[in-house]
Amino acid sequence: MKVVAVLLHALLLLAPDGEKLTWKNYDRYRDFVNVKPAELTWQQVEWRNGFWNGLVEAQAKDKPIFYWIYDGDPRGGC
Amino acid sequence: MRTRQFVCSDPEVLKRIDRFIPAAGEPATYGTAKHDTLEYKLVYGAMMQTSFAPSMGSWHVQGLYIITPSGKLLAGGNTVSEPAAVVREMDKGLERYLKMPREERLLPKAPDPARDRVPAPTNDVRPPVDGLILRMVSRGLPAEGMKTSDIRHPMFVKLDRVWYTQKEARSFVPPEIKVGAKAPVKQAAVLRLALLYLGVYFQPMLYWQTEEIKEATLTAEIVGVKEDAVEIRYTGRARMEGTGSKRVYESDLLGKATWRPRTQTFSAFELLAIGTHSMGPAEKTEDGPRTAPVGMLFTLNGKNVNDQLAPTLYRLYFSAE
Repeated sequence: MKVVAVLLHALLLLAPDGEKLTWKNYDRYRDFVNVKPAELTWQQVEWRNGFWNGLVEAQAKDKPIFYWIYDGDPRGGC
Repeated sequence: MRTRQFVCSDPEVLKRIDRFIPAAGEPATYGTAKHDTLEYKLVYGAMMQTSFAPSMGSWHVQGLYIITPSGKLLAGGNTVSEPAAVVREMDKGLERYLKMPREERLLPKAPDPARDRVPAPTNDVRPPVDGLILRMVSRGLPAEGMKTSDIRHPMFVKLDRVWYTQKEARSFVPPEIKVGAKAPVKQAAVLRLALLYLGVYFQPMLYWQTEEIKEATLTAEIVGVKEDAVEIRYTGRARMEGTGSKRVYESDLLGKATWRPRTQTFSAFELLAIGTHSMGPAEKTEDGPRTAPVGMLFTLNGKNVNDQLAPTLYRLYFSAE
């Protein structure tokens, strides 16, 4: 949560101030919208695609499945 | 999204993850599946042990759960934004797993994909070879009265992918390769963005209908040509109005790309949409402004394994050739 607070503060400092998009402010808007490395920390984990792929591997390796289920894939669209 | 940013990025969660097999999925995989496959029975059985049991008739379920391969729910819950609670459940689940006899925590034999797997439209789907594979980022822009509890706040980011085949992607390049050449991007390619992406990433993820697209234009102009690099600039506009609702989205689009004629692929691509989204009744669940500014950015996709998912609305894709 501390990382999120710091990121939020930095984001708001860099925020474009409601201008219409032009080539002059393009970089500023792009950099503001773009995903930041800290926001991709969750990608350090190789989330198996779907319960099935987790099941096959968990059975083979005798490990519990850590199952993340959400309406709309939780790794993206939700 | 909160889970992604607050829980699955938490150092204590990440520290423990190697003791599990992490898997991510969505309930829609099972909503219309046959009930007699092993995979269906395992997931349904586990979810029926959660607080979502009463809503499992419609497969409304979400959360982070620790489940044995034999389908026993050990721990977990719908703690989407509390890392400490998730860590406690991980520890509890692991302890229970290790205490359980092997024959109880595992299936009698390895599951058979031909017999036991629930077929799903995006199982084993792969991005088109040499296609234009993009990452989409959607983020709210600062707005008066926007609270941090509102997912339109800039601290939240939504991700998805856009896929174009190589042939479809060619329409992002004017037919004549020379500086100054201008051409509209094929309407079908633009419509994929307009119908399924622009202004869509607000719960409950309502995509647009064709008749709701009031304007969707994108023009490509070549601004530089070197031996194997064509520099392109894009300008466009989009406006959508919900039929029967007050949902509205409009934006200006600007972008740039580098196209390689030898391989007929893009080595760089950016398309930025800056505009506003006004919520309709189906979307307005939080206090805060009905209309808020939003930015969307499309760039070449990341290389991380989690970037290789099919687009969320892939099932609605139509040909843009």
